[in-house]
Amino acid sequence: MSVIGVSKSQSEQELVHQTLFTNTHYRNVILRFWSLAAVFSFAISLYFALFYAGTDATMGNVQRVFYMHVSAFAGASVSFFVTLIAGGMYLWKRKQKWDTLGLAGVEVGFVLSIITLVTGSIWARPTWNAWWTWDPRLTSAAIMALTYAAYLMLRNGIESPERQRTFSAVYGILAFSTVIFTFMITRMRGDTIHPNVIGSSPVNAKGTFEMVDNMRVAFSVNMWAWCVFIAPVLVWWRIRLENLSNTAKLRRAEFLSQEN
Amino acid sequence: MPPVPNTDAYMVLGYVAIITITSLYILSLALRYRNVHKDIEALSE
Repeated sequence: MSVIGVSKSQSEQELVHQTLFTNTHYRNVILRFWSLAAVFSFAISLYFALFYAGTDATMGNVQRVFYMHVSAFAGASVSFFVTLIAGGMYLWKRKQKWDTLGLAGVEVGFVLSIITLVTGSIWARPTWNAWWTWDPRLTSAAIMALTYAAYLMLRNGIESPERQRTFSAVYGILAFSTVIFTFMITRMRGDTIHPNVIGSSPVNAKGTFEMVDNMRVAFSVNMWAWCVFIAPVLVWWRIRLENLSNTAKLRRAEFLSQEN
Repeated sequence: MPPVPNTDAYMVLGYVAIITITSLYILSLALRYRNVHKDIEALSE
């Protein structure tokens, strides 16, 4: 990883060997294009949600929040799935790069979970006449977000790097059960009032609507933007930040050893 | 047929929340990136 043109020590070269997505010219170009594509896809998805999709007759314009609410949850699920895979790979290969990928997935997934919870609450106010209710789906989504918030806090509390990485890998794998649970809860519990997008909604669901063709297109564009561009690009930038932080830690350790 | 309810303010609030949270995260990444860069520069001098 060439950071600022300083010659690399042997330990730094070893770190490069352990690093995911090192900064090669080829990867820099891909990341820049992908980042531009993410910005462009966000603008396109906004257009489709706000102007292309028709207005829902029973909920009015607040229904347009749904396109990004569901897509942000899908993007969070993709990020958490990346952490699940990275956790398994770390336990198998014991390479630091898989730990970096897992951490990046959790941080981005957590931010997208917050977007899901906040937009859901805003949609619920005019639809359910409440900002929040302890509905099974809402409760499971909140538990999911808190589980991953705990990952970030507990990880920083472990001093030994090896133990920290092993703990993070195991936690990242187990935590994915909350994502599956959040997805499945509306299909298992009949008393939830949260509607389903995929499959039929529970009998007590409030705020259901029939997706007509232009709504389906707007929904697909948003899902594509958040799952293929926005979430992966954010994960990649977070990996870059972690790689740079690891370089800084290494140089600090070398500097202190020279001082002593 | 009942009139379509006016929920425009909630729609605007929803999109403002999405853009604000995303922007804050990108800003946090940029600031952390800049700080780590500064650390590395200082250690290299």
